[in-house]
Amino acid sequence: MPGAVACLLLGAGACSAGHEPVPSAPPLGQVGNVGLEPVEVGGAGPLAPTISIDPSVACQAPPVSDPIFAAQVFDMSRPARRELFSWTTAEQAAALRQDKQLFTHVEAQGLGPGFAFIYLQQLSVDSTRSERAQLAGILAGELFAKKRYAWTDPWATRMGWPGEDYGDQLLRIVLKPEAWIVLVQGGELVVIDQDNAPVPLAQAIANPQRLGAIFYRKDAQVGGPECFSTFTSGSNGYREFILGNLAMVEEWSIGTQAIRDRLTANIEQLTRFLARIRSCPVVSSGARWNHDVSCSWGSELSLPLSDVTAYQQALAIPSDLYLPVPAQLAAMIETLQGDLFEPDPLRVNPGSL
Amino acid sequence: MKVLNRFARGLGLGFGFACSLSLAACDPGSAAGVDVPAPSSPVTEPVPGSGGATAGPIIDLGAPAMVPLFPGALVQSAHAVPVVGGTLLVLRGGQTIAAADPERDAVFLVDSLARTVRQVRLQPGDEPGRIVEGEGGTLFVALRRGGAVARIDVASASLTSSEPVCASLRGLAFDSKSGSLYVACRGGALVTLDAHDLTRKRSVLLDPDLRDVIVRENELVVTRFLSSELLVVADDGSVSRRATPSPEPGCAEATVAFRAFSVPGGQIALGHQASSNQALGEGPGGYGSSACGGNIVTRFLTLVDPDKATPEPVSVPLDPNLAPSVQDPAGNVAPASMTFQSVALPGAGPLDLAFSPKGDRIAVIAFDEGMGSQNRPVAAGSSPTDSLWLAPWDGKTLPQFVPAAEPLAVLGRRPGGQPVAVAFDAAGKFVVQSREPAMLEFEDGTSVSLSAESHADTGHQLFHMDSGLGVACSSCHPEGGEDGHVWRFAEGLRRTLPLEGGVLERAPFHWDGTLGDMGELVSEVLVKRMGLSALPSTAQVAALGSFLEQLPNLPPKEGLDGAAVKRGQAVFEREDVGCATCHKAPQYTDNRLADVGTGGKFVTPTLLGVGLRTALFHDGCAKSLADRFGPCGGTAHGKPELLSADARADLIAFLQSL
Repeated sequence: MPGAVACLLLGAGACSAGHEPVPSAPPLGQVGNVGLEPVEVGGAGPLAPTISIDPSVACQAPPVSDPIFAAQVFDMSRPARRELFSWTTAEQAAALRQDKQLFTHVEAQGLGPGFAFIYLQQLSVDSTRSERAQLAGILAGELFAKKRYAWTDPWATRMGWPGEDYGDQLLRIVLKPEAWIVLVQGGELVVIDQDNAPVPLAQAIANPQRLGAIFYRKDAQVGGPECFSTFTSGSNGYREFILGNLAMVEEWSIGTQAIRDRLTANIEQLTRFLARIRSCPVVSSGARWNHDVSCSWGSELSLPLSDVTAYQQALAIPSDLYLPVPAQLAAMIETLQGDLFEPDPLRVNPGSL
Repeated sequence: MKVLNRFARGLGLGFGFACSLSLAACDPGSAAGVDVPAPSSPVTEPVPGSGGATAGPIIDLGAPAMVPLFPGALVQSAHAVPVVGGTLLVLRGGQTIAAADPERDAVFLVDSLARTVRQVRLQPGDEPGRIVEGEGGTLFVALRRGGAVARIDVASASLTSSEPVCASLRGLAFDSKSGSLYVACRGGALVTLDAHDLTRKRSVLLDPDLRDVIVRENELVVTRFLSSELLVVADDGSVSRRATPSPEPGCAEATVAFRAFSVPGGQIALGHQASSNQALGEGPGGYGSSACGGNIVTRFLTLVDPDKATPEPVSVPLDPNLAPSVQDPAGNVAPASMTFQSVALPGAGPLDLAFSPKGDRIAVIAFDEGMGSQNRPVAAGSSPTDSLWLAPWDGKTLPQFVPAAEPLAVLGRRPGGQPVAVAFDAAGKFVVQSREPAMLEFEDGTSVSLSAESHADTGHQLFHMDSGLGVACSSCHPEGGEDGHVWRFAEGLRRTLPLEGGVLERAPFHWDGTLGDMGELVSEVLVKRMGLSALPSTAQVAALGSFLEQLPNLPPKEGLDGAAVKRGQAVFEREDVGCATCHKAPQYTDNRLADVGTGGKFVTPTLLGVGLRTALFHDGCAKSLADRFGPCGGTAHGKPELLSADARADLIAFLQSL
């Protein structure tokens, strides 16, 4: 590979900054790497070294050994989490500070209880699977009647879906070590503990107070994207944690330095990611992007991870706003920068109230 | 000779096009001999294939052998203006028709019965555009370059007054209830004038890039040119809601909105384009198709109901009988504050459309088809003579224009000239305005000449011509500018570059600087990627360059603080900040490649018109000048960190003044 082509492929960091005269185009019909004579156009400076541009070389993201979001990949073989983040509005944050009631939200006005709970209600009346129905009934009942939606890192839910805004105040919630997670995906309910070990449904039904969170993935079983079709069909896919059982919350906090540090780290990660992928962003439509990303969540991870695949595997809401193209990433960075705050910490241990 | 000198530099690599195509003789004589005739005259050029100096081997592009384009004389106009549409109005009485002519700087008043023509002369360079009818036999005309509204008395065919409004006028609407005239400016101002004396009642600043304005009960609707966005403006001047059509969800984004007006029944007709957001091919004919099917730029007629919100997302089966906007392959319809119904239109480039007074007929102009490019292949389902499409309308579901579901229901016609605007008379018969020759053509086959002054222009013709694959230069460079779209090429994202303000001075072309001159540009883009099957001659390429070179830079944003602009210029010229090192006046580029830490090496882009662009940088990363100082700005792009917030604001003011 000629050095100049490597410069282009490796992007900004691989070559020194500075001006060069532009190359002339190869003769019509000629393709491939062409060593071109430098041509001075317009400017009056001395000729710079020749560079070559091969327009036939497709854009390829440079390989990296350290994908930026590698540590945030949500691996379905190890989905249990204790630390989660939830965005909330300024009004809700003020109420939280005053009332210290973490779960007050019943359902969004006009939007019903949410897809996850509609599905759980359906499962709860399926008499052919009594244990599953029983557990679904518990989850769709009082235990999670008041709830919060959350994810593992703040940036991955801040932008949400176009037209929606979950707020600019960030909560950090830590579950107790003994909290179980109910996985709702593929049309099944699976309960795991914090070591990702399965918990028998009967045991979960007998100990509902241990159910700390619901993990819900909108896949083809619940109207999400059809992943094994030549067509893009089904509605948008996403994934989320739903919290509602205060008994399994060890601590929640707002306005802390730790939360600010997490936001700052997210901003730094996204800024590095923007710089890395800018020369070669993902080429995809919004619909295709959602389909491809949400379908990839159900498959075994393909290793080694690239920057983009790690980013995809860290996402919760692969909406247009999360397309890894420069303008969207810049908007996300600026939004998160706007969310930075002067610490005014509040930590609450529900058990101590 | 200024144009020629600049043009010669634009062709700087020795008429590279003809030479690189291995024509036997690279005789620059014919191009170099081109002068600027007034207003339009033939230029001597050996006819390719007739034994003249340009007759040579035909290049092999892996496609059928190519033949010369436009055999015959080359012509150039001293004043050729890109087509804007919407310049024709049938007055309320039905007898008088007004046609604005931006190239002849005149408004023609035609008696449709007597077939007499009266001309209202405007100032040279006024470029009249939209016309609306007021009370008492008065017409108001938007002078797009003149920056004013002109009032014309129809009875005497005279200009009675003219009122400066803003630097770049676009839309115009008259409200008989309030006696107000609403003017939409490119800079974002929506100005209300008293229609009686043209005094200013109010000016509100909306988003930039305004286009048409439409009066509705208790509110206005304003369109934006490059995004097709519709803004509903409440009585207090605030924007109460906004929405953008999405006729090809997941495949393309609505871009250029050429025309919008009310139709019988209260909806709004929007004639606009949608541009592909799929990966774009750069091989032969690569611009001819989108990964989703169809063209990379498609023209649409969209009916907008501003009062009815799109329902929440629903899963619907694909139904070929449904308009594209009510479904998408994923079964999702993005909720919006308005409802859209869209249908694809034939042709490429600028468009105009009309609805009959009874609301039972729709007419659409396909300007490109009237360009006389006899050598082009004909797209399946269309005829080379179709430049006006007529279809019946039931008032509910838009008819399919492409392909005609019922061939008899859609009528293709070929008016004799180059159609730029269409309207219906009181009887529901169409009238077409032709730019060259300047005339009106009527449905009964008759015509009336508006002027003998010719503005025939080969470059204008090349610029607007459908290459044969449903795309024209003007598809992505509407009105000679840029469409604000960011395209997905194999090598990454690339924003369309503007052409106004002396584009030849900005060679080499394209972000990567791979196209050294106009010849190479035509060869690579028009011939190869756009699939033009006929071969432009050296002189024709020169004519295209000459046409583009005369496009003036768009006026800068209005309402800037002069002191801030001056301070900003000083910031811009500071050596330690480094802006002017690369962005050198007068074009604000050094025509060289630079890596400023934005993802590669790119030719320094011009800053002319930068204040009103909707996307900045090669990849459209920044949406405004303020964003330039954010994450998009690049890691080695001057030294903005040396600037205080105030200094940045001053710098932005200066940039907005360019």
